[in-house]
Amino acid sequence: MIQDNYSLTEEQIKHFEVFGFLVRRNVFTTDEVAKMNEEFDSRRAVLLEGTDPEEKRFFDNWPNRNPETPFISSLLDDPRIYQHSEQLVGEDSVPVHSNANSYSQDSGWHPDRTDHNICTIKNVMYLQPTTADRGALRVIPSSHKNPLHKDLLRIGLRGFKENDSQFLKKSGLCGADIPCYIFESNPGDIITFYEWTWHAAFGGYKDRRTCTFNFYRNPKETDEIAAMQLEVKNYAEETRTLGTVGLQFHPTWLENPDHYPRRERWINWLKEWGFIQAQYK
Amino acid sequence: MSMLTEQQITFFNTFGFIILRKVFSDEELAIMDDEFETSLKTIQGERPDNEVPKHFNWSNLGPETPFLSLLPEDPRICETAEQLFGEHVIAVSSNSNRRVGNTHWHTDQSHPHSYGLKFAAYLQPLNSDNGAFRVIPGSHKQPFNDKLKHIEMHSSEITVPYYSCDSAPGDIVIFNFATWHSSFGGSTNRRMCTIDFYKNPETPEEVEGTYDQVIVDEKVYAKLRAYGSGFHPHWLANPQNSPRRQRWIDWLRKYGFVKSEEA
Repeated sequence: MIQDNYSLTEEQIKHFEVFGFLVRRNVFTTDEVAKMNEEFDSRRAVLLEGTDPEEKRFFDNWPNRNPETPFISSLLDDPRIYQHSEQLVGEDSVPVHSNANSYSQDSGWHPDRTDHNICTIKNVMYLQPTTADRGALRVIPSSHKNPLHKDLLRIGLRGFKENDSQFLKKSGLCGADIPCYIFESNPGDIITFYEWTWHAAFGGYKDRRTCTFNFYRNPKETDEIAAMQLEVKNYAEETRTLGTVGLQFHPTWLENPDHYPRRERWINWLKEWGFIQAQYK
Repeated sequence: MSMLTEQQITFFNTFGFIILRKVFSDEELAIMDDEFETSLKTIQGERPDNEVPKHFNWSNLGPETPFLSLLPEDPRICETAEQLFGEHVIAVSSNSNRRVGNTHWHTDQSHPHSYGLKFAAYLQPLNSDNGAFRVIPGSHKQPFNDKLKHIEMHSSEITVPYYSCDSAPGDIVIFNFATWHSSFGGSTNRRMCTIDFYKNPETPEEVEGTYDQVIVDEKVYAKLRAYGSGFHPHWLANPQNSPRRQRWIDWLRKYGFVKSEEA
């Protein structure tokens, strides 16, 4: 059942703070998920046509904010995405990345971010059912915070590909042996986690699909501001490394034809920090 | 030869527990089952209603359970404990436990400066749905450990993220007392043998914590309505003159875990 009020309870917020992630079930309906998959199908087909099949890529991904995927693009303006995000990282937080991702393999253990001067959260929705053996996201509770966050780095667990993890290599363990919470999900469920939180997925298969919506906390302290400036500086290079195809901030989205005040605030912030200009570099 | 590899020690220190597979052979398990069953029957027979409470345990240090009574000194156990908590660790209990139903989320640490680890050998195959040991990885460390005291662990709104230590007879789960753990969906006859070790206190706070532990242990012992004495005179007599056991006994006397009347 879809709840009318999308606010998180105090208990849910506390859970997120302590464990570094939060699960919400049945956030989107079956019909809505079907629409997302339809848009995903057509957009992926178009993009793959223009891609060199021999090119080695981690995974196919493209920004959601474009006129070819109008429903997915509209989700950032949907309270089911922004309302809890604002509760978790601030009313003045901003969605910097929003992507569709098509994976074709496992994702080994990693945090998306290790610099604690930038606070970002990621909302992930899988467009297919997931289980432990078939692509479910795994998270290590409380690994967004030290000492666990740093301990996992120190022991050498990190490796986007399993073979890259020094700890797994030396111990003879596989990624699935690492103790964690497994987010088995149905399309329409959403997991939100701090990008510092360690996560992985095993049992990958071709065209394993997610839509992601990342919100950044507005930086206030000197160290946070410096870290955000560095983030902007590295933005174009990071996007190239990830192989993201297309503009993150499409001109149509920037036009804000419905004059949403929230989106207008986001656009002003993105311009102020230089993210929009950075996507053309 | 070291029992644990460097990576296994790293795993334990990082996540607060580790599972060792196939530690006991089928022959050893048969003996453990037999000694467990015999003790349980004896105890049931001695009770007026022939029944035992939901959570019930008794010491394995008596001569009636010769195999189990020697487990704390088995190199697979004590040398592993020494690798994890230092060569001066002390075996403070070896029990059989019969449990019924769920065990809710808790830690076994009673004082912030009292450190210990538990070896748990389950005598039946267990998975997440029928009573396997559930653990919150990394919860032995601060500040995560304390934060868990302040969140609602039994709410329908949230799911406590856990890892299920599915196990087969012969496996051992070792965990830090501070690690949050639970068990749900267990049968009416869940059986396990446990051996507890304390870290030798090194600081004034740890010494205080150890004295505090004596009081707590007495209360827990009474609450669980444990059967018989924790330290059987036969074990305290140390008939094999084991130097390691003698060190443990001396330590247990020094801190008051063994009362003079038990000696």
